[in-house]
Amino acid sequence: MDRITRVRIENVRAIEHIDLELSRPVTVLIGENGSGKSTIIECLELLHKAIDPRFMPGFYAIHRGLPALLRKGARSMTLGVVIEDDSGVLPRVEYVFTLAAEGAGGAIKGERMLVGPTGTEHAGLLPDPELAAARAEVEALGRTSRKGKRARDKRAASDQLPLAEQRLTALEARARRRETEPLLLLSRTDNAGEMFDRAKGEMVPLPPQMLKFDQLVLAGFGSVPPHGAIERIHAVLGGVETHLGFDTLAAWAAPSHQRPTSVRAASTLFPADRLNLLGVNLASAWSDLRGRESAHWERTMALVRLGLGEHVDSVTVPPDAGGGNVYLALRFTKAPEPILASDLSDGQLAWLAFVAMVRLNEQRSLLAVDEPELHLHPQLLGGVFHLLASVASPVVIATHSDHLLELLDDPADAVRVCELDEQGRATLAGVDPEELERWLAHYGDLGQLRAAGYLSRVLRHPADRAEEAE
Amino acid sequence: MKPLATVLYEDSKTGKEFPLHHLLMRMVEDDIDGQTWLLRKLVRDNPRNGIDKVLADVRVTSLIAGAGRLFVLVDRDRIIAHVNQNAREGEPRLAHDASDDQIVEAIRRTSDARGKLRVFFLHRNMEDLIAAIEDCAPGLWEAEIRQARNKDRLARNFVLTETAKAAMATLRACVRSHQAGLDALAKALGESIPAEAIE
Repeated sequence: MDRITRVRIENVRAIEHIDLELSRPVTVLIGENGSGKSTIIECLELLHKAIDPRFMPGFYAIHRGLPALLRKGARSMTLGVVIEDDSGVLPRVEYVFTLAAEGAGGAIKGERMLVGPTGTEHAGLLPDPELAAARAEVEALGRTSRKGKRARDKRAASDQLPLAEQRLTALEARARRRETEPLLLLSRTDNAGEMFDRAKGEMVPLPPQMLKFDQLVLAGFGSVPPHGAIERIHAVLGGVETHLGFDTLAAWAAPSHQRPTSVRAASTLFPADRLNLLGVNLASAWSDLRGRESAHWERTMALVRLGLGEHVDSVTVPPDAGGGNVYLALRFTKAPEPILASDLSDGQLAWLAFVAMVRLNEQRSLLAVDEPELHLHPQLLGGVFHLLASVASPVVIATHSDHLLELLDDPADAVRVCELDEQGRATLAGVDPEELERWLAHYGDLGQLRAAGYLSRVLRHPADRAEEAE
Repeated sequence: MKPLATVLYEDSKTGKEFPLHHLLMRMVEDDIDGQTWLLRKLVRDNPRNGIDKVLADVRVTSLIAGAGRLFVLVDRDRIIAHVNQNAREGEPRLAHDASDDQIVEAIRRTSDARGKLRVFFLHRNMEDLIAAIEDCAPGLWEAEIRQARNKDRLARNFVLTETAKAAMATLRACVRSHQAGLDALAKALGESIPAEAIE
């Protein structure tokens, strides 16, 4: 199974350069307000949108474009991922794109895909016709020089053989290099680009129709891209799922907002393959879940009861009497009427959203959730954490909750701390396991340690690691 | 950068900044030459939100101080009761009229690295520090000082922040003459940081 094992972010808001490693099941981002946690989540959403054929319009309409995102003083921003196959069979893939300021807006400045290195994959990926021809030539010349029928042919072959052997040696060296270095699969700079041609074994120019101003080349391949690696990048970035706090604004507060929240109000039923960013398709999500096979539904309801109690009978999606729309509702065993979403508590709704999020889309490649603690009692937050930890894909959680930190089995491995340095740059620090162990002997868990004001004592910064390496 | 000194306060933060620490650091800077940004990196503050938490931290001085020192600033008025409440079996209790030295000794006795620990008092408490500022600058920030003396935290933070500003050196010198504990802490902190560390 393919996973995103690394995310690269450059020059986005407070982030100058962050290389976030995601090889563990759960990564928990903590840090003060404005230290870059939510920016990382937003960047994951942008990476998800890289496969959108209308990437740039969405980038401007939703993310307010480059002027809103670009780090002060920077001219370009870069996002990238490293994708690795769990089983180790498929080669490592790296994809990165750069957007640069241009006039009052921004443009796609660069894009690169790299594959490998692994010896076996290059054998498959790069049938090297030159090398094969060179080998055949050396073999043929050798044979002729030894066993040629005519002396003239033998002499000619002997004369040509050293040169052919020399060329073969060079091509073999190139093949060995390809086994240890990644192969550049695609490269785009401004409006020019080239892509590796398997048949030719070399880079060839990209057709002009692939170089669109509003679309990354990645999004321009059809359903059968020329390389398996492109298909893998598509699948993995398409499977990135991000969530902010669910939109559970209380019904009585709706007038101040000049609208009821979409989660609480009747909504149009749409097919839902995943819960969307703020959970506003929650009713559709539950309608879809209700249609799944009975074992799946029973398991889903067991999760609902785990958080909301044994008296929950079912989650229903009754039609709106006005017609056309549906409500989300919770039915309790001893209550004659279901309780509509408009009357549920924020926490109950949030729990229904988390259960739907986890159960609806089980094909995701990465799940990122910003501040899951919103609206939740600490006990329910514990449940949410275990829900998230049960997800098969890597999970990234950005949180301010000390209670959530208490729940981590191995906080030194899971936690990354966003901090601002003296220049206001967001940096990522890890936790030193040995130092943490010393402190936890007196302060219980990482949440208590942070609450006590000593988190900084157990951090390990990239500069520390560089010093240790030296 | 590992801290060379940690200052524990019984107070708590109301936001990102802790103005009492700013004021203390400015007092240290008033005394010494050096790179103030480096100094501030080498001296960490930790407002622990309660005297009991401060006293509990003192027991693990070696952990908190690391290679540096641990400084504690607590209110003098209620400290005896808290030291006695937090005393473990076998640890002597303080008399209600115990002297400053006796209190300091009782606290240091609970530390696992008493050589690294220094204890200082606000006499008698934060409200008296605000009163000292008022005495030294009559009429200045009148409304805020009145609110601060009534335990308004935001007003107190305003007054401390203003007193910590570079231009207020004369006011700070006067406040130090009223608050011997704060003055002694500022001097001790300055002495604990080697000159070469902030050059």
